[in-house]
Amino acid sequence: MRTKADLDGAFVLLEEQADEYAHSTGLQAIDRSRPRHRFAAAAVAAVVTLGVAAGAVTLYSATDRGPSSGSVTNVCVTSLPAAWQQALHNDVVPTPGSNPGPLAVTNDGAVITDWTDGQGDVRFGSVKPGSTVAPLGRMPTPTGSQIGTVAAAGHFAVASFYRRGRTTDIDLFDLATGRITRLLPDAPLARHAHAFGGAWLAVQHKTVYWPASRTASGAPNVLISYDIAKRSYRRKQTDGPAVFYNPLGIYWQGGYLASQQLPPDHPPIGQRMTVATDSDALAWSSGEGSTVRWSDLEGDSRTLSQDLSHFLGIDAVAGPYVLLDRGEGDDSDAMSGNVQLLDTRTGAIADTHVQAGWYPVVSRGGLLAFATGDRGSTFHLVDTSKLPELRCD
Amino acid sequence: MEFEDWVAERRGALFRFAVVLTGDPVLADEVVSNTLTVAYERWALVSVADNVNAYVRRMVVNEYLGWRRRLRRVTPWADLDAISAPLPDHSTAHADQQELVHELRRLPSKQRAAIVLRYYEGLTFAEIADLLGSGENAVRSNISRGLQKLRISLTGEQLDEVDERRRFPEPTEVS
Repeated sequence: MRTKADLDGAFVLLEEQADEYAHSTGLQAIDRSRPRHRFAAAAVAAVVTLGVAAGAVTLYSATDRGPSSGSVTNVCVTSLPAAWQQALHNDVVPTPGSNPGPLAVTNDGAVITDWTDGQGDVRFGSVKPGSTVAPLGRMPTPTGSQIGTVAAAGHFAVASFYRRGRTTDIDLFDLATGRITRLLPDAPLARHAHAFGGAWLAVQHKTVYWPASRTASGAPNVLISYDIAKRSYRRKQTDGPAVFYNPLGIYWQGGYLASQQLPPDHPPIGQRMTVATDSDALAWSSGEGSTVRWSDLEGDSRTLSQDLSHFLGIDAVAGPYVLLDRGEGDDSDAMSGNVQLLDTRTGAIADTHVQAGWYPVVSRGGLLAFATGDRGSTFHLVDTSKLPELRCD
Repeated sequence: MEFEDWVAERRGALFRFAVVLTGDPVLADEVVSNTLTVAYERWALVSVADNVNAYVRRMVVNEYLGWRRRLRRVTPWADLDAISAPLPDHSTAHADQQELVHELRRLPSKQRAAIVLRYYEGLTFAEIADLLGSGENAVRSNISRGLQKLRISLTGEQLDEVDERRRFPEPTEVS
């Protein structure tokens, strides 16, 4: 008897035949030339791919709008105020174990972090400024498990894990009660869209979302949701890849938004961007390193340009501030880089002399969490709302 | 969205779906072209559908099923196994998959459509029934018979991959 894998294989073979046929016959050219097609001028079908690397995502928007015609603020270079220097370098959170790193920030200001304990197991915890880490759970590393992605909202955090690159689990952490619920046990990784090895995740309005693939090509075409209160699952079919703006929400290319929390001004269709979000703001850049766009849910939109000589990408948004990765870090750690701080209100930009570590910089509501040193040996937590704005003299 | 823009964005995915559905790139090209011609003529109606992509996909399925019905009225049926099947090659999975593709092509159109919609597109039984204009029991029957002809046995775990109620029986507490 044959198995489901054989059927999937046959579908893949047919997809390959489709591509070969389109290539060998010049299908797109035929579309343009056939007179019976009154839509002859239609352009060729775009090959949709979804790329994610180090916070850079390719964005697709069915409700695309071009760049706004708002004014452009030229940036100006300034020095980092003393209060900022103090906060960025000295606001360190003590964590147990080694290699602590921020993973997500809840909207009540708790940072989800992990660290390695004395037995070599990875442990999770949450921490607020001025308090110690509250442990959440433990993941034995001998199984080969690794952290995929983490998202948080309210007193809930959700994390995906992957085992030896083949299967994934999704666990829900109730930060108030300490209860851990496994939402997705040991699922084939190939069936779940993944970044950094685990399923993509978002949690909003007491609902957890993750995309899944039900196609032989592996393209995510289903959105799974889990209602925390009702303890029930739902699925929605769609026709395009999903892009997650954590913690702002989810954008779904198939024609609807799973979250309505996107700013009115957001990145255009089909262009590769680096994007970062805060709880109510979004910043993006084309990656050419000359312009940064910032927008918030209230419709405020800012474009900053000039003197932004080449940068690698946007590390984070914290309120009105954008952190830029200059990529000038220690050669021993390719992921590190000198971080610049840009105040989008004034256009002032300053070197922070912070060497971002292996972990991503995460933020929410102006709270900024990052790790410095080789693979995050020190954990920093900065409340940017209490710091002065940057200005050029 | 303008028709030209929609075609530019979706034609590739629609063609792939049509090839898997029909098992024949040439036929798929014809089916998609005919569907898009009709869609163009009715774009004012199509473009306001809740889900335009699903609507046009349904048109492709209907065009395929209609095409199969028309073909059978005019084309003598011949068993071409002897000349169309690949030479036996048990050393590669590719040959087995090729054989399965041939068998898929020979399935009755509704059985084939139901299997493709279920296991390629990942639709639920209810969604397939709605799309094909038949009852859920008929869909289940078509799928069951189709899988039987293809000699495909689905384990419980494999069934779970497309059945969310079975995939997620109950969230479990983790100690």
